[in-house]
Amino acid sequence: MKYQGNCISEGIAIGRAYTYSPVEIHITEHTIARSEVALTLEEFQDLKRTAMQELLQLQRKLQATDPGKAKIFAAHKEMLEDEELEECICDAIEECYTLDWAIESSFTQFIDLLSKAKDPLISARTADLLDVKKRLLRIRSGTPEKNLAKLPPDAIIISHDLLPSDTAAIDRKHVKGIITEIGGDTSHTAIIARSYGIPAISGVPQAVECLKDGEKIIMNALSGEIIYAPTPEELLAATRAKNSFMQEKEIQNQFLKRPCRTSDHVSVMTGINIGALTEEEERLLPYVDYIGLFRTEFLYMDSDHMPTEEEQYEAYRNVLEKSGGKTVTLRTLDIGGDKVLPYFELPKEENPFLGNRALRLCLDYEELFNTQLRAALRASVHGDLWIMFPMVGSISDIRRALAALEAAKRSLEKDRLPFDEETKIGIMIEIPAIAVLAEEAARYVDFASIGTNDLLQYLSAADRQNAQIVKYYHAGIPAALRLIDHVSRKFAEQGKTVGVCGEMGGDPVFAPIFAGMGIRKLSMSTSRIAAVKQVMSLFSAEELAAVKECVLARDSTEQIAAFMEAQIAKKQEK
Amino acid sequence: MYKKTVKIINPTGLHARPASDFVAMAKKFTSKIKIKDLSNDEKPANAKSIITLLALGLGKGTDVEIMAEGEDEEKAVESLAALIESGFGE
Repeated sequence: MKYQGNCISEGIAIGRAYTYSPVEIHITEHTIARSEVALTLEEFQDLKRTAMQELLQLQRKLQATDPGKAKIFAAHKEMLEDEELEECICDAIEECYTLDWAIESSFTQFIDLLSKAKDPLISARTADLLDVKKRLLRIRSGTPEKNLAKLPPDAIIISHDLLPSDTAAIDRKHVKGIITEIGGDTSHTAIIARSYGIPAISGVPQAVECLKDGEKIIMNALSGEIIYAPTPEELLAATRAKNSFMQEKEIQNQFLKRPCRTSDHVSVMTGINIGALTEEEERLLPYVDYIGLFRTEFLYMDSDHMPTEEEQYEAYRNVLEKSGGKTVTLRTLDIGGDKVLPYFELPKEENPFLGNRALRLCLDYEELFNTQLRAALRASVHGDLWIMFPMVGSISDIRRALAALEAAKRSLEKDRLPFDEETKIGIMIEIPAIAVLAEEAARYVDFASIGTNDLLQYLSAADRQNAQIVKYYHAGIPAALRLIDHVSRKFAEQGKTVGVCGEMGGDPVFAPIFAGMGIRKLSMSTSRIAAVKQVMSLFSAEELAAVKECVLARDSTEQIAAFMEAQIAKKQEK
Repeated sequence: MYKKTVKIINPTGLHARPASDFVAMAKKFTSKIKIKDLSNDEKPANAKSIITLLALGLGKGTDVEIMAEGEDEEKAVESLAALIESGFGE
């Protein structure tokens, strides 16, 4: 049996299906005999202890690697220990209800209570209560907990979707691949899979239902094909394909350690995009030229309070020191809309991607912005820090951001705190409006970094996370390339630096086109570095410029992709 | 019975970490402890129950009454009031 999906992380895996879905248990009202009450009360205490043990273990396991996620389980423990909730359950048992029903009805009552809270942050915590209830009932049913922390060997995870909490404690030794029903190229699953270097395929409807637990599966995340219960011939072919893919990977890894140059030795800087610096990113730092995107959101998302200036300063300084003098491009806070902070209440928006987010939000909340700018400026003395603003849509946005920066500098002077007055300031190019005004924008800043994901999303008016319309997103590529060429020329004319820090910059098909435009800085996720260095080495600077001209003359994504693949294949044959 | 009125001064109110800190401290005492929002007629919450406490939705600037009954009632109320007055280190 064969299925087809979208490749979101390339590779080939042969393994066994491991279906992952939350246990659904349905409870109905039943009673027990009066004589059973005492025993049931005891049973409840035992159940609580077992649940507590599970939570404690989950919390401990995460404490060292991801303290932010460990807090989720600390909160669950707190709810399990809630005195009123416990009383309510015990009362129901005293009234001769079964333990299952006592739990079900009491939790429902408390979930109701919380969901009525006016504050959406409080009502959102009903999800935690629901989670604890499910844990108790699941233990009662005798089903072992299914999480991804302990997988059987050669597991291919089959799930509707994977959330950060699912992947927090994933068993990296045994996971061989991931198949999900939903999620696009930039979904959480895709990012996780690529950072682990394992294949992933998404957009496979009813995968959980069709692919049975434990059954042998071949997933080819180069073609998007999934073979369920393969024949011996299919297995043999897949093993061959896998080996040749691994060989190719091996060659790429040799490129990883070389500098990124064209065949005539013109340097193209390669950088990595980071959040909290992971082990993998630190390992790759020696092989890249700079950090092209330092996302600062993690500091805010993993915290239970607004990070103080001191906390931010320490975090920025840590990254600067570890980068050993290489440029670190810090992006100021990019939250709002869908990315919310538990301690910072924002109005709900109908259309968050077009809403009050990133720089817009920072300009509205002066104190929040000022704290981050002060922390970043203070860290600037510890390395080569560049600061950039996300979601810039107009010249007035740039002016206001620069004014906020100036105010932060003056306040630091007043407090006699040192900072680098020469810190380079730039903007993200992701709103088409500012791309069109590149010439004017370049006058105000030192550099620009093109965020291709959002630029393409806003230009094509298609949600990249939505597997059903991702084709419309891809269809916007020819227009995006012309716009990026425009931005690159306008910045170059004024001697200002332009880089790319979106997914396209790390795509071997598009990286040569950007280099052909004269862009000499490409930043990407760690897993893409080797492939980009390899493809760059195939062309001379002159050939890249010619390739770019041919690409810009084409008006469909299919034509561009076919042309590029032919060019690369031709070069590789030599 | 011992009671005391205090004003919540920390910016986030009795949500998230401050609420957890409050309940954790309340659980250290044997007395029955309640907390009431003085700005409305809602029932007081059990100070040892995070869920009922959260459901009160106590924000910054709210006056609350903490009351306790039991062996360590005075110490319980004074400690919890002091915690609220400290602003939870925010």
